[in-house]
Amino acid sequence: MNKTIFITEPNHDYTTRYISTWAECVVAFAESKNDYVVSLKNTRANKKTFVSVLNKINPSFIFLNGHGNDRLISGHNNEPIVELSDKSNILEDKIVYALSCQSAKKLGPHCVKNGTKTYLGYTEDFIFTYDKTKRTRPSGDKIAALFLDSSNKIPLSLLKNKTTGEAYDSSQRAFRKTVRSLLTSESALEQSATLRYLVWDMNHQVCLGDANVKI
Amino acid sequence: MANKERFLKIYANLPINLRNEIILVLSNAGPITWNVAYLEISNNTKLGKEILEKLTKLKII
Amino acid sequence: MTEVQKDIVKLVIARLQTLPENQEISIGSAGKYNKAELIEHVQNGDKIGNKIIEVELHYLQSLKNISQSVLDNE
Repeated sequence: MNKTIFITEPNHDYTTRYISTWAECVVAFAESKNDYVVSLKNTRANKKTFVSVLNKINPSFIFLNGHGNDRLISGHNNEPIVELSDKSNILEDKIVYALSCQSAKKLGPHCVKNGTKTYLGYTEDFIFTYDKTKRTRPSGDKIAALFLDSSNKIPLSLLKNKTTGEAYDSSQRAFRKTVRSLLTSESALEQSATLRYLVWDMNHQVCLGDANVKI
Repeated sequence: MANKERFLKIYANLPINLRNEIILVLSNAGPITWNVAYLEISNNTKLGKEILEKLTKLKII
Repeated sequence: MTEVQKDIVKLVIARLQTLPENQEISIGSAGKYNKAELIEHVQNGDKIGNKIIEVELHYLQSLKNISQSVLDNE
């Protein structure tokens, strides 16, 4: 059965440019499988549009990209899209992956407690490095890819009909594989310098709620 | 396990690529890498003892 | 600042100095930083500096069993 995927892609600074570029890989994959994808790009990644579209399309999977903290995830220009202080849980009954700093620390558990099926995200800042000579063309940045390819394993695995727990494991394995490859004697300095942040992200990625559901 | 043994075990299992990384900065000796630490500690020098104490306090070993 | 804290700051700065010049680091909504900026924040002891120290120590303390941890479950 074709799935309905809902993705936010803010793009107002280098960080959101990078993560949204990688989100496009997920969009492309979903579309190649004839899944229905709704993507809120740039200024459309705002709360009003998010809630309106969410209610209209009732997606099974929501992929939130943006800045955040332990209480909220934001969209374009850092406007909060999902907040701990929301009157009701707009992510109820959904599977969510939040590529957003710290949101799995408080917002994630709150959402799961209030009906979100699974919340995948990070309990600390998601930190990544990038090659500043590539920042206007993120898709060609092999340094950023070390982080964002591992992150993308979650949505891509879900789209391949894996459970949330399997998607989480897939991402963790990808992180570990990347770390392993950078620990060898042949690793270049510009790559091995990323190790500290890869380990940080890997160790703070979590899967909250039901690990046995599929989108 | 004593600090020295713990250090040697960790060092033996440390990827080659990481052994040139700085793990301490001493006021009298400057930056110390895993390799330099190994030389001092395995030869039971006074500096090695200082390195061990600091690495333990920092919970690196 | 205690002796241990001073040791940590010196260590983190020395390690940051070995980072490549062409890379920047994104720390969420806190922004993006190059090597020199990270070092400055650590020297200032501010929120970003403390975060960088935390990340660096987390990594150093994970090295005790890093080989095993990345080989597990493969």
